[in-house]
Amino acid sequence: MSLLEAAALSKHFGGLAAVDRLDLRVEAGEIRGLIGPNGSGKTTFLNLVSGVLPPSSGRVVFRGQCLVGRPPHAIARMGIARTYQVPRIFRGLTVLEHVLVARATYQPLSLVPILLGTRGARQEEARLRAEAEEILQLVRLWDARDQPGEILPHGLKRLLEVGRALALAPVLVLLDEPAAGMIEREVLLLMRLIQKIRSQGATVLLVEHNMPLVMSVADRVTVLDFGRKIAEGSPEEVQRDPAVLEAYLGRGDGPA
Amino acid sequence: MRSPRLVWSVTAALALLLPLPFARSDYVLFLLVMCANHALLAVSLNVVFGYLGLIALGHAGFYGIGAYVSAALTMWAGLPFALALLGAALAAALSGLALAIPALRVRGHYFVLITLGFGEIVRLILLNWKSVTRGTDGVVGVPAPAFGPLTISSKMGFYYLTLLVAVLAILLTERLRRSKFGRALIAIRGSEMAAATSGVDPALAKLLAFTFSAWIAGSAGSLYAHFYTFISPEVFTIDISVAALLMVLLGGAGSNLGAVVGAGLLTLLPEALRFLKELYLILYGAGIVLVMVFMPDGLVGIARRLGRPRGAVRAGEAVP
Repeated sequence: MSLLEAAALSKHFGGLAAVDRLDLRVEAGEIRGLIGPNGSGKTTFLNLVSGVLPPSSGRVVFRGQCLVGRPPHAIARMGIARTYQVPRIFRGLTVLEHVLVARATYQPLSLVPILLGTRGARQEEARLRAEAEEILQLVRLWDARDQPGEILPHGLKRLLEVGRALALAPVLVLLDEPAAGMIEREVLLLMRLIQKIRSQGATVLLVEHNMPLVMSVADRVTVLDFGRKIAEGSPEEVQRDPAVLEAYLGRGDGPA
Repeated sequence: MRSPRLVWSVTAALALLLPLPFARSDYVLFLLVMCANHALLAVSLNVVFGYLGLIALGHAGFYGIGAYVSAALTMWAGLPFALALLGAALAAALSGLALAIPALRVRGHYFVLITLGFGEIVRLILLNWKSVTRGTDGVVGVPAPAFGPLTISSKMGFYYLTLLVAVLAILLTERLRRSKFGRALIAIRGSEMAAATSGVDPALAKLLAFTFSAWIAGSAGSLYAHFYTFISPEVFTIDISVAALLMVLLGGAGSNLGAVVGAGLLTLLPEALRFLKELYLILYGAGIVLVMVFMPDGLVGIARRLGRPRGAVRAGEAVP
């Protein structure tokens, strides 16, 4: 059984099929690249998996459980974390607090001991902070832990999003163009980070335009075009695939 | 972002205590009690408006429910004040929960309209359910708070009582803010989608915030009823909901210190500017516009900007 399995998954926006009867399997433990020209449905696919958008038809199954109809926070709790193409920073929270948001669990009754200031509540808070600081060290943001998230430079905001995603202790991490806007040093850090996430047992689905990054970290690459899968295989296979070249560069033999 | 806020709030509370020895006149004491009462209301609204970023215009409803329930519990049920205060807060909290369930299903303007409608419904019930609320005649003779043999009848005593409840409410609100739930509320304000994909259930977080906020507003209503000894529906109108919103806005949304300062200013200012008569409302309106345009983070925001040493602009701040 695959870790994540999309079957005949479609998403229509009016007459446009952003994702079109897509079948896609992600195996546990792999780093999967997801590439394709602009508008090929990569982000929409992530939105369908994370529950941000409901599919028009088809199914997404994660560890044998259908995700369709579940709210995003429930999907997150099942172990699917994600980042955003445009970083979604929580204005007013520090870097550490961003990670804490995803680290905590929210049983309504736990508010009572918090308001009473019990020892248990303080211990939980201390534990959460220690765990969050560990995650910040992993994404190299520990020094900035008390800074407001919104003042971070763009590349560090992306790393913060990765940190926030990792705080969920995810089984599957969906990264939406994490390297966009990053300087080279940050891309290298990101590359090592992705490998580290996998070595700790999580699976990574990486949507990315930075081809050198995808080709060097991905075990396998899936190529989308107009919401459909046009190729899948090792980075080398995909790079030689005529359908992929056509999607990116256009047909050589027809009118342009 | 850790304890300084708490320190600030306690300092502000102590600062409020200081003028007391000089404020022997009944009129000044009366105003100070109302400052503290409005501060409670503003702190309550700050949870919804400041933390969650939702404009709510129905807090007069919670305030009114607190006032009438507290009056009923002491006058009809003969309960001691302390229990009536808790009961009033609980009743308001339950109404907050009941309101939150439909209100949080909608967004933006619709949410504002639902809270507005709630406030109006409460007002109309107070006005028309005459057998219980005595309609426009209001409820007369709400008893002074008594704790066993100790009865609080002086304005000075009332000031301390209101202050005590307000400080307690601020402490609890600060605890909420600095807990995982407080962070979840700020996260939702920043991006509800990203908060949800980070494992926060936005509906649950909002429900808790609303219930908590209504609980504090209900306490404020109870204290109001026992202080004034007379309550009528005309107190619990949209005017007080809007006033509370402006207090939070003026002080600085998201800050309890700001809520307290805003409540103090907007309670005292109308009195200080009484000589302007109807001109006051024009000035008031113009003032609000100026605050919105030039100090969107309120007085606390300005203080923070001034407090930051020159040249201490941190790296990245200039990055768009």
